[in-house]
Amino acid sequence: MNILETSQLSKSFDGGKTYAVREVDFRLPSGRVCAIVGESGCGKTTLMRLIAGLERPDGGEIRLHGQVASSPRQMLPCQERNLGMVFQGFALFPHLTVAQNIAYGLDKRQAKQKVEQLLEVIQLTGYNDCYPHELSGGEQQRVALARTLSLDPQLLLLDEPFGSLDAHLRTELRQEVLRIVRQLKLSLLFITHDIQDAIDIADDLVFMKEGRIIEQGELRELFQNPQSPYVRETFQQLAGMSRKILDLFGQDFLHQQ
Amino acid sequence: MMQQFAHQLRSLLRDADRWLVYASILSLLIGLPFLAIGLGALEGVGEMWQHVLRHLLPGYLLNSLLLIVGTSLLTLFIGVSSAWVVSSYEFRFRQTAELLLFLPLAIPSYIMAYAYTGIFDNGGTWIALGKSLGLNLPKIDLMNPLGLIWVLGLSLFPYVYVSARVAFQNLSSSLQESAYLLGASHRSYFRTIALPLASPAVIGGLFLVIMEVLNDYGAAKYYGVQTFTTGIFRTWNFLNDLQSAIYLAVILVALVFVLGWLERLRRGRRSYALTGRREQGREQRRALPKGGKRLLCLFVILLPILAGLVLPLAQLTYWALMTIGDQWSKALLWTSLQSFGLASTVAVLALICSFCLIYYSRWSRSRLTRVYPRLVSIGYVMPGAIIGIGIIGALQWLVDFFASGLDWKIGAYVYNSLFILLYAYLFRFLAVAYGPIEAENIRIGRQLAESSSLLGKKPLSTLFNIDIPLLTQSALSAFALVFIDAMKELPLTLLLKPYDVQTLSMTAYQYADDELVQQAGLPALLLISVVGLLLALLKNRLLSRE
Repeated sequence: MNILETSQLSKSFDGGKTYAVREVDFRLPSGRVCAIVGESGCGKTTLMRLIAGLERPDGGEIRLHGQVASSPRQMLPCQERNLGMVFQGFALFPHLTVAQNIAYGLDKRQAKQKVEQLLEVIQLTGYNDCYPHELSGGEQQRVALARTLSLDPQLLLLDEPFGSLDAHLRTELRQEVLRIVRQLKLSLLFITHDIQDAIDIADDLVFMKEGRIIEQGELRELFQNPQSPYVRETFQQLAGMSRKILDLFGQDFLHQQ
Repeated sequence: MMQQFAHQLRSLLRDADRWLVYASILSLLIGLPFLAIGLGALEGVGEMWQHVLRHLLPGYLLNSLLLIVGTSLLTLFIGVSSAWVVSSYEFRFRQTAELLLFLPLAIPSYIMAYAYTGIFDNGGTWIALGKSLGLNLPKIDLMNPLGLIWVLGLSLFPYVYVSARVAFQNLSSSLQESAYLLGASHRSYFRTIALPLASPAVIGGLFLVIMEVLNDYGAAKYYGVQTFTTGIFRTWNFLNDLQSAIYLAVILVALVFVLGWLERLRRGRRSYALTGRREQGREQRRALPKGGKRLLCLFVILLPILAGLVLPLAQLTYWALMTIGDQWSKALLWTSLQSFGLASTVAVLALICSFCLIYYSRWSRSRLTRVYPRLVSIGYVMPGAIIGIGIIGALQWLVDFFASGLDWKIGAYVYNSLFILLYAYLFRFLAVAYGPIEAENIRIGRQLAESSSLLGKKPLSTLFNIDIPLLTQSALSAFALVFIDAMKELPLTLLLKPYDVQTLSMTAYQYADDELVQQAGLPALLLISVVGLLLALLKNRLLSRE
């Protein structure tokens, strides 16, 4: 069963002269982790905003759980899509504490218990009264994730979730996000310009360029048999880097880690 | 081309939603005076138009242009030089000087005009001072265009000073150090780097000065200089020809648009000047002036402070002390309260309308909702006399409509209504409130509101839980700015004030108009004290690097 499906999805911001997203066909099976990979300006964020219901498409449609959620004539409000989204800058409300941020969308009666539960899931127990500016980048991101999870979405959308973090924290958080997604049995769609993020946690990859999908499929399949020169080149560069590290440090280095 | 137009039209129609309807209604209501001028102009010329065109218009045009050029040069000289000195030199009391250079903004130009008349007129302080020192000092006649330029320049230079100060402050030390490493002197760094980079901001400040020159009524009338604004009053009040006054207003609107277009054109070409400033890092280093340079710096700082603040304040205080026995009364207190009440009410109304416009454009999918605020913000660049005439034109139409259609005589109610004055203030000052709130709103971005929506909140709940708490600081600044402008406002108040309402600005004006200029001292000083206090509180925000 596909939790998300788009067909011939298009969006333009300048009256049809240029398209940010053009004729995108793509599906995400339930429970899978999928990464949309592409350079800046390739239309990844627009695609995600279309899925979240923050933009109206010019053409095509988006189906969530098999039902039409967006089309040029029909828009299901974003509150009713049963999905959660974490923005690139986390979009935490700066005037609210961690607990107030997480409880923002919750009914007051259930808020306290749910906040404690989620703080435990993101391993930030005791941070209830901190304000966002008092947290590190990684902690802020976890709070944003917890806030999104508070409404029990089935589909999680993450916009460049690891972009602003340093390399060490990045690796740690990727695994953390994956652990939470698996633990809560969610489907995850995230966008990244870094192929390493994608390879580390995604089951499926979608490559975008100039608003179009140029290749998509299961990770291993794509890696073994890339069709487009862009995807082949991306994987080759990554493999080249790995080879260089192995040449420099030897196979034993991997085992020491 | 046709296909693209059709696509745009389709997307406009498709994106039309209830927010667009609300925004359209609000914008139409606020922008009615502007519409009234346009419609009024279509009704043809008035009876006196030929007389106005032949005998009065050339003089209005010439004087207005002379005032624009003269005041621009004076404000540029004072504003840029003082901003450069406080930005690039370190000296004792620099921060105090920064504040004092900013405060002449608290003195409305018509009050500055009264104060200078008191100093240099026959029997004024200047002559009296000479006599007490045994000197026969010459009389300095200010009742002419040059005198008016001096007075307007001194009360308006802070617009240029603030813009230039912020622009110089945004220049980073790395730019300065690069220039010095490439062999530039302090002077050539100013000429070739600092001034060109600051010029878009300086021109922006100058544009505000020009708008204020065109808006001025009190000072020009007092000095007997015929300008467009005094001409509009004269044509309506003395020639009793509203239609010709509307035509004069249309010409003035055209002039304002040409000036606005020129300013935009220049800003467009120079927009690269401030790009990347955030990355430029630390503020530029200040030098310690020595020898002759120190004296020059002292002159550049002291001239505007003495002439623009100390002298007029001293004269007004002298008058206030002379007349306080007769003037300090319940009536003056009541006038002050009415001034504060009017200014506060219009500031609250402007905040409410600004929040509505921001709210509608946030949630509407239509691009039109983003155009509306720009259209209704036009009131700020419209001289008060034009807005007044626009509203009178609209009211005239309304009165005629009710009289001929329903035989209702509503003239006495609408012309003498506080609501009309508040409405006129709102149209004039909406942009003053909208600007800071919108700037903060853009800085915060859309993502917080979108997050709130994704978390299940309705737009109204997002407004109260997210937008308003985050925009409180800028809303307070916006409130203070509208309050200051409304307190100082004169032409609109003169045209539309109900009989039983009195403000401090009106009281000062009426005393001066009745040749009782000493009596104008106390109300003027009260007005300046409140406005000056608010400006001092706002100083850091208005001069901040952001």
